[in-house]
Amino acid sequence: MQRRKHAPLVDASACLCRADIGPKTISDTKKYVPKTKLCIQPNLRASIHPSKPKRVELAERSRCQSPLIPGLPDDLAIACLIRVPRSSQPKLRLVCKRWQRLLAGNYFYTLRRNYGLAEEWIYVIKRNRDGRISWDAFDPVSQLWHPLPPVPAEYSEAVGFGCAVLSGCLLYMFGGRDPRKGCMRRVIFYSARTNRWHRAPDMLRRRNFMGSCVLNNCLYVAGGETESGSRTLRSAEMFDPVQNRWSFISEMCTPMVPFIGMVYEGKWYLKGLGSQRQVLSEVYYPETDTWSPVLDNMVSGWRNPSLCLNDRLFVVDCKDGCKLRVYDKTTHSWCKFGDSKQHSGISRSSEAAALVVLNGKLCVVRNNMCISLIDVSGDAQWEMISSKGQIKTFVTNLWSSVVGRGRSKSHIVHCKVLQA
Amino acid sequence: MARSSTENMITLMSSDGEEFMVTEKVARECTTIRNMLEDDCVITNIPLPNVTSDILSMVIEYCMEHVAAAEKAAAETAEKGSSSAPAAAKANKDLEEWDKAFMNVDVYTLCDLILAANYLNVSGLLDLTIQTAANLIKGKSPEQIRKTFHIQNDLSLEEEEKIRSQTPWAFEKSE
Repeated sequence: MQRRKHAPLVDASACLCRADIGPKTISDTKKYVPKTKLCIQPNLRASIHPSKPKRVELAERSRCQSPLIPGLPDDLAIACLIRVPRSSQPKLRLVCKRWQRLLAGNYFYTLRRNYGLAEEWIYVIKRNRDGRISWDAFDPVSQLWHPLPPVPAEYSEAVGFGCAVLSGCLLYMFGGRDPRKGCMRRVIFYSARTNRWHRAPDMLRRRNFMGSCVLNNCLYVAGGETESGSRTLRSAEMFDPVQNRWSFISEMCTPMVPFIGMVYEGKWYLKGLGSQRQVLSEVYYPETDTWSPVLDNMVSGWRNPSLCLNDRLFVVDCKDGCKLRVYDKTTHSWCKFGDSKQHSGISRSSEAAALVVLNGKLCVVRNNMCISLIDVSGDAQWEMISSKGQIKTFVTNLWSSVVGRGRSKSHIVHCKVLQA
Repeated sequence: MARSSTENMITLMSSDGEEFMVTEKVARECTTIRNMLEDDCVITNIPLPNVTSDILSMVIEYCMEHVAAAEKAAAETAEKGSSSAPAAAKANKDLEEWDKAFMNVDVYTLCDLILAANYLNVSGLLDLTIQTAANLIKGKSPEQIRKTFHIQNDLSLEEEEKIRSQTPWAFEKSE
């Protein structure tokens, strides 16, 4: 304690990014102080031109900036902060302005991802009995459900909207039909980094009950209907987040309202109903931008919910997802894969609503918010990570009862995994 | 720790002039020193102007413990021909326990250890100290974090309220 009254060992406000170049002695580090402090500020991009701060006032501001953690240079302080679990991040924002700015920028999350520290949460979008859309996030580390900022008004009662994840942390909602305004072109997205909703450019066509997928971090949508039941669409379009715009791709062979879709071996498979209510299947080749009808054992045995993990196709075998099936490429057939031997009934609430990938494992999410995790690469061990009667603390208890209140009356519409 | 007399001894000098005699093997745990030794193998006296004697003694303690653990594991492997998994697991667990006890320090010492581990480039110690600091932040309220790390709150009440409203779940305790 005594020695703290003297000067710190290394000037704490200096960033070692620059000091790394030269010998790390006290004098060398100190020499760089005023400029190198900029390196950490995400909005300045000063690490590219550290010696030429373009705006004097920014340089001034950073000069009187306090360190992120007193006693540590900012790069080491950031090394500590990125290791704090995701569930604690909201609290970090309230510590001081610099922590708040750090957690508001992409730099922090890019580092977390690059160091393999990004955590995946399961986001469950469900429709309550009153028809309203609500959603919650499940943190598998602390095994807690977290409430989220409400879904924007235009989607609060929408039906037939699509949902997809781009860049690992952005959840898009698009199209669908609002009970008052009718069919929508609207596109919105939620960022798991900022915990906020934003608007993206509208689609080129109004659609609901369309098929969608993500290929090369671009969002593809196809088919659906324009007004309820009136016109089935053949058109398909693609959203590139880099260009931030939609563009048409080739039309499908036949108009279709897809009810199931998936990317498998780099191709997009869709199965749905045609305008005469006949079952159709098509496959899209992104390299050549072409569609072709497809009818094989894979497509005929394929049903919701399904998932492609490590180039293998999985579907649930029993309605409650206690058993799985996998598609065998060599014999072109669907085979049994793993059995939890824990059949939980065939009521709607225990029905498996979605399959997602969490940390490389397959996850079965049920309407009653029970989640099982299956390691499909290993010996197919089943592990329950969220069950109905989970009580940990008073707060958990409170939240699970809030979440649980609507359980039997609600069903899952979409389920996605976002990392931050 | 068994030490043969033929082993090279290296003197490390702290910023306050205290000298520490360590074996070359222990000194080599610090990548910075290892690089110096590889550049110039006759070097025996290394001044470390960025590290005080009490911090340096802790770094050396850490390196000695980890060198000893590695040697013990290597000796056991050589003896039995192959390492037995339970014994290795136990040794790992013991070392983890030792690390945990070693990290029972105040925040000032922890920060100084992070700086020293970074400067001397002891990757194991750097990971350990940084993770310890992260654990100190984890699960704490903003007020507790500020108190632990002596950070000034420069957020206005309005700003705080705005951040709170964006992530309601995190602050249920204070509401």
